[in-house]
Amino acid sequence: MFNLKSVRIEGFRGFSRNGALFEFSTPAVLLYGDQHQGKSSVLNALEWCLYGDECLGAKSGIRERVGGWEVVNRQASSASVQVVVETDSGLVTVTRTGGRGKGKKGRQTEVALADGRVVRGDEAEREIARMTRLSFKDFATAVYQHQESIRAVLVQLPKDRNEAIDRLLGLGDYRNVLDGIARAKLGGIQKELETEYKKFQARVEQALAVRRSDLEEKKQAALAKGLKGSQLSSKGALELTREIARALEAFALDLGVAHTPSALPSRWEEIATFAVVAERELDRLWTQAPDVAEQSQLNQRRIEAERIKLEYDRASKERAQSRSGLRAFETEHGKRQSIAESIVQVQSEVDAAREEVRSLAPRAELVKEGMALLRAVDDRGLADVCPLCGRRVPNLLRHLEKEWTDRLEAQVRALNSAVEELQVKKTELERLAQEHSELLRVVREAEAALAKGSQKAAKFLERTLTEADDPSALLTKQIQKVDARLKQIESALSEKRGKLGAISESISRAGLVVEILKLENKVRLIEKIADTKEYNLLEYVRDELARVVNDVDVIGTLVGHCLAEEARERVSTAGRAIDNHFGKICQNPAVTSLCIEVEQGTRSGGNSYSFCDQEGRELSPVLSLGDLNSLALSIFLGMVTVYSHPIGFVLMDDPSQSLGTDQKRRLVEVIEAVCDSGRQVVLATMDAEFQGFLREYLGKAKSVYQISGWTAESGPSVSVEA
Amino acid sequence: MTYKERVREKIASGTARREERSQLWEEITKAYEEGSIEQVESALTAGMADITLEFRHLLEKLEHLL
Repeated sequence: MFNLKSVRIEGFRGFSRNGALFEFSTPAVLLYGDQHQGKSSVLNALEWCLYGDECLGAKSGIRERVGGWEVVNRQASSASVQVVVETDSGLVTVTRTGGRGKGKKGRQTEVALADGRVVRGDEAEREIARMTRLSFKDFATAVYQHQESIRAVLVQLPKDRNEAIDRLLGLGDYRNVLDGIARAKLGGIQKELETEYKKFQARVEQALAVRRSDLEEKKQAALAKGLKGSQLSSKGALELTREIARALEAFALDLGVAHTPSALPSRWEEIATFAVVAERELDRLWTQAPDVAEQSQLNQRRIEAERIKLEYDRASKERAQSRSGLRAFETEHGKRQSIAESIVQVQSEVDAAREEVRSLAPRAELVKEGMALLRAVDDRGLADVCPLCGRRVPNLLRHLEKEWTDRLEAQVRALNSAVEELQVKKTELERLAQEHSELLRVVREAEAALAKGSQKAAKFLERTLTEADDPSALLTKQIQKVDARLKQIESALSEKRGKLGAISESISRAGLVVEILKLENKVRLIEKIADTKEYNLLEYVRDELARVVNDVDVIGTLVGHCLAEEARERVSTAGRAIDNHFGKICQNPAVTSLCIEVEQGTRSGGNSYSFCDQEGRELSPVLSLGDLNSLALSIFLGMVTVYSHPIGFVLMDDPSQSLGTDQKRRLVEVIEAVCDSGRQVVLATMDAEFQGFLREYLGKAKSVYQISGWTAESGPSVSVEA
Repeated sequence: MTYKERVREKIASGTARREERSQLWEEITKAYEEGSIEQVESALTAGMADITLEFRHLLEKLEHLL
């Protein structure tokens, strides 16, 4: 067995480069301080120095270590922890140094042995393992009570609590493997593939039904087309192709067209290609037949004649309409010459009226000026004095005003009115002249279109047309002639067309038989799909899948069995110790004996724990948080005694989390009992009440370290109580 | 006895597919020790991925026969 003598910590987690030294010269070493001052870092340092990377990350089994659990203090470039232990053969110093990152840079492990030798690296790791003889996970179960192990038992859900107890019993590996198996959800994958398989089976049935129905439909259609049942076979289909070939040859002879026979199919699968070639040949023979060629040409000629006639008739009608419009205009308004003469006449009348107005103007101006002058001097009594000769003329102003009103003004107004009327008349005549020009233009255009239509008709009819000819009638005659010839040809082609249809129908029937044969093949293939290589392989893969899923299921069940088995063994071995510790800490008058029962869980595969009293009554519903805390501590302390190892100390981190006052006081007694068993206790707590009880009631020599005043730059300040 | 050995013994004492299950258990524990829970999950699903791929490939081929 070995005990701790001291630990020096530099640049590790909460401790900066300044570092700190803790000496463990007493049976109990107590680390006091508030939260986040570095108490836990001291315990972590001891653990890291002995186990290195094993206590980091997910593989540590400690949830808070998953992700970024930093080893090196942020103010330091490296971490160094030196632990001195006292073994049976003397003092051994273990020094572990670590750098940042995952590489080996800055990492070193060194062990100075009792015999004076110093070993490093892998040899140092082997020396540590030889000395501790305990895996990291067992160390975390039987030596180091983490805060997390108490917190996890205090959770509310029974399944979470069961898992926490499994882990407290050091059975985390089983739990983790079961979690990994459960997370893979292989059963889900198998179920998904089985669903796909069933859907495929349904599609096979559906495809078979559809194909069979199609086949029956095609057979009915074939019978309706006059095919016999015996012809709905490959032999019958091949016979049909021979008939088609013979018919094509006779048809070519009948039409008078050269024919090159195509190769006959030897297997029914070649009939589709043969049918395409035969159909093409049938078209070629028909289109190259002389009567058919002439018919085609005549049809083209008839279409052309109809088009030219239609164009000519339209132009003729437009010319007649335009001419009629012009005639009606001239009847109403006269011809262009007459309108032009009227315009000249009106213009001369306008000119005459304007001249008369101009001749009246000087006198009118003179009278107007005279009236203005006389009105200006009327108030001085000079309105009777002539402004020209200066003689007095009685009533001169009134005389001038009367003359203006009676004669000049009326004359000028009448003349201006006449000019305006003549201007309106002239404008109307000019508009009529323009309208006449437009009508004339339309007539000329219609005449030009008709002449063009006449030229086209002449070209089509291949003759010269004079004004005495009627192109429309001549085109009608030509169409009648073409129709007569077409009738003759159609009569001659009627019988041949019948033969063409018969051959085409034979080709179509051959195609139908091919479709029937293809469908029969498809139905046979689907009916025998289970005999295919792919289907057999699929069945093999399904079986393999089921075997693998079953194997994993069986392994999961076995892991669960082993987990339950080992839990029972541990509970059985440590049961008395757990019961003693629980009884001491709790002192529940109703519980004189604690019995732990282990069942393998049906769903998770993990264990299900029940806690009963001396009469077998279930305690879980009545356990308080303090009781659960006591239970977790009892299990841990019980496990301390179960494991056989040479580590002579126990590390406890914040053990009094939810304990009541009395429970805390009694926990001190239990800790003293642990010390009595020869184990050194290193305990960290922030609980002031618990600290007080430890000072007062722990009857063992103890060192008390106050850890406080933590700053990022310098870490905590550490002092030892005298 | 470690968890690994205990389960291995249980598998060995079984009657069916001892060899296959032992091998599978070795794969599971190897994955667990290399990378914990997630590694177990991915090792098992990776094994199934090959089978799933083959299964779907064959189904696709058979679908073409319909």
